[in-house]
Amino acid sequence: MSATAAEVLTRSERPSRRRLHPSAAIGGTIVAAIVLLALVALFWTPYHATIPSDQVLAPMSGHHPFGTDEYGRDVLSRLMAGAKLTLYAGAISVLIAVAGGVPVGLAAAAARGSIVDDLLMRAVDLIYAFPALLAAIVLAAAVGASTTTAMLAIGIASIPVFARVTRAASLQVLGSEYVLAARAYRRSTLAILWRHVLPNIRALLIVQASLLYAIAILAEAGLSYLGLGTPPPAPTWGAMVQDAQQYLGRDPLLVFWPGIFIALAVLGFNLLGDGLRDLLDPRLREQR
Amino acid sequence: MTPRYFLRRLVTLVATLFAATLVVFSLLSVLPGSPAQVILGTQATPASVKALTQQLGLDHPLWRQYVHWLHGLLTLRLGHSYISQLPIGSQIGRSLAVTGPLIGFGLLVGIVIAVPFGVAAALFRRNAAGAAITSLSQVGIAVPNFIVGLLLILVFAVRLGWLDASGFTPWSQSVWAAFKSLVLPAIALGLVEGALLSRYVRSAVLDVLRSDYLRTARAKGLSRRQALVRHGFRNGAIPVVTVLGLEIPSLIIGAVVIENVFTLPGVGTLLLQAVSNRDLLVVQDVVMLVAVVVLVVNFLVDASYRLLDPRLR
Amino acid sequence: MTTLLEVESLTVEIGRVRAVSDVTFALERGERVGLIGESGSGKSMTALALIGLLPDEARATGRVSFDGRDVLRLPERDRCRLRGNRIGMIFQEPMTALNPTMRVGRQVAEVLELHGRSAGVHELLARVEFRDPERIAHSYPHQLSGGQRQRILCAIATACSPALVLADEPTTALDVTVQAQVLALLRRLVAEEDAALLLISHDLAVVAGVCDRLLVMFQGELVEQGPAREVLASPRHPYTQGLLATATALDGAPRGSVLPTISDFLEVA
Repeated sequence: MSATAAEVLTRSERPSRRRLHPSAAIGGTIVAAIVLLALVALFWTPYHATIPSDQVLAPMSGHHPFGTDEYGRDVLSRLMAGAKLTLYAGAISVLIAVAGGVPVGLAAAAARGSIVDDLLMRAVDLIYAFPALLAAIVLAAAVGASTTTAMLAIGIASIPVFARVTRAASLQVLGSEYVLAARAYRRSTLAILWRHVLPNIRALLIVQASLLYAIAILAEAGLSYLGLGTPPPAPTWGAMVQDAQQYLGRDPLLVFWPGIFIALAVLGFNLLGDGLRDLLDPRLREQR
Repeated sequence: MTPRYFLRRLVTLVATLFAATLVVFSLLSVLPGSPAQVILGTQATPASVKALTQQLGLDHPLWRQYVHWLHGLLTLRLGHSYISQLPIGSQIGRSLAVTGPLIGFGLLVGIVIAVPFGVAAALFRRNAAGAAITSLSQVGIAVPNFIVGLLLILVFAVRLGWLDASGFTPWSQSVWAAFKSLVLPAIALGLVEGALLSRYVRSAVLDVLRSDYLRTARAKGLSRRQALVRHGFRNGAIPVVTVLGLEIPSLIIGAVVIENVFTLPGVGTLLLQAVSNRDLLVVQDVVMLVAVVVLVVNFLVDASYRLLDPRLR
Repeated sequence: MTTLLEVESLTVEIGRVRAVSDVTFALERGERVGLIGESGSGKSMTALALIGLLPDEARATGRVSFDGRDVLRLPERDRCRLRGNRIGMIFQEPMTALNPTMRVGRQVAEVLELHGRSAGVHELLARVEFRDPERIAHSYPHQLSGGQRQRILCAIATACSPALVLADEPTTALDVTVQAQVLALLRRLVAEEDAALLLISHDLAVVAGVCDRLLVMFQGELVEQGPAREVLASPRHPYTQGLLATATALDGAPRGSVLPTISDFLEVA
């Protein structure tokens, strides 16, 4: 039986899964590679990442595949240690955003239209007024810069995104017929949220988390670059760029290797998020 | 958009602004140590510290200090910094003369990049050119803007010597020189924004291309291009303008970083210096400035979005 | 010669799929023909081929002769002169067929200006039974109901007195009561212009009430055609038989019996 024209039309209009799988695959590979690097760095790096030596500003070689920096520290080892720090900071930031944003979004959706909903979303809007950098600056001014302030700043600044997405998605699920049925059975709101809403928005949240991870990495890099993240001599990729900046003319690669790694990490999580979204989208669409 | 709705939003805006001042003030007033001590140094006698504290009004109850500060903000009489003794108002004013134009040019660069690339990506989505543009934009949003800035410095300042890597000549001295010192920073700021915006442009154009009203327009006898221009432009512009407005906070943040890369004496530099000098009053004021700009811009974007789209009026 | 439109061996392929397969039929001046088929039968694709608005990925072969010229081989510029002018088309979704950010009056005026007609927008709106055309012309689409929007689309399609009107499921997305109104309007407009009408639908009732001749499409092929009365009274193709049987199955069916489906009439291919 030949395929009908209608099927053909929808298939050519919707991006075919086959064409977008590369996104998830490439993204996933990059992320996996960086995770691997970080895991290895937990136990071993070729040289010590923070102890100086006298081999200052050495070019790329067999001993030092990425050369050494102005204190004679092996760049590869620092990049690996930086991967550790980057992934850690990103993870905690996302966790904070999820832990803060999802409950707020759920509560707002459940209380839709009421004062509670209004207040919650206004509070979320207030956070929106303080972009991550600003929050990090305020915290740094208050208690001094550290990894914690950076993660807190980025995490809290990202709560609005999660809250809004969660609320919107939850409202859709709450409006569906099986929730109506659940309500008819007098199930409590909490039970409905837990058993019906959460499982259905889970996929969407995972996609959002991946995309947020990318943003968090970028933000953390910016903060470290400005000196508002983990204090020296921690080899965060952003700090490495700042340190190497004065040698831009002499040894440009010293500046750009950490930059490339930042870009790769961000790219990886972005592609992963996009790929996941397209993979899960048809399923999400069917639920409407 | 009814006047009543507009009024409600305005009230919300004002309330949020107040809440923001509370947040900023409380965060920065819970600090250990006294500013007077910091100013006078560790050698100072307790008596002189106490005298200075009284002089600066820092022994008043917190709520009084808050009201005093708020009053200063509203009347724009911002006083002087404890640390540098310089008038805060003029400091901020001078730094705005750098950051404001920087953000403006950056936005311009971003739009100039985003529109052609986004439209092209949508129109050529079935072939290699479209795929290339989309991949390029993915890379573009992944690269940090300070890296782009450093790359530009390397090529145009260090290797080619066409422009300076840092510094800023005040507008009052030489408009051309001031402009030149903003070129590379604006490009660095705008390139990354442009990459991001191009994705929204692409999505907007695609929505138009797939729309039913475009098909109706073609059925009337309009050519492809006529239909796109006459019917697609406004519909496509609405989501893009909205995103543009929402990206302004990101531009502000980006400007802070870029100023650091290019050593420009803008708001970002002022803020960071104040932080490292523990010049809290300046920090408070500048943070509030940024928060106010972000909130007001969001409000304006919301209003204009509703004006543009007749369905929302 | 009163033959307005001659379609010969029209085949439309998208990718590896044949949406329309070797379709041949003709339309006389002023004739009202109904094209029935289920979704996926290729009827919409056929209509799009007639005005040259097939999607870019589609490849069409055969001949579509209108006004003596082959539409498939005409340069785009000439096709633009036909559309909205000699051939008007009405699509299925009135809710999204109009530009949401442009006032209705301007959208109607556009087709008049494009083809150099001097008729007035208000006249046209009055012709499609709007009692206050000034207000309607000044409105935005979202301020109007689905039925109202479809009437405006009818006005646009017939604005330049076309010789052929293509209507692709014009009432499917409308409430039943409004359907009747729009169908009656369409009949009237087509009669006034002495235009030919190709009415496409999956709904027998819609088509039977309006059309003199019927074409039945199934899986891209034209499986039956003939005068409406004949086709309805003695359908020859199993699909048409199934369509008719299921359309009237409910009348007089004994309680508890199993209703027939179309696939009962077809052998599984």
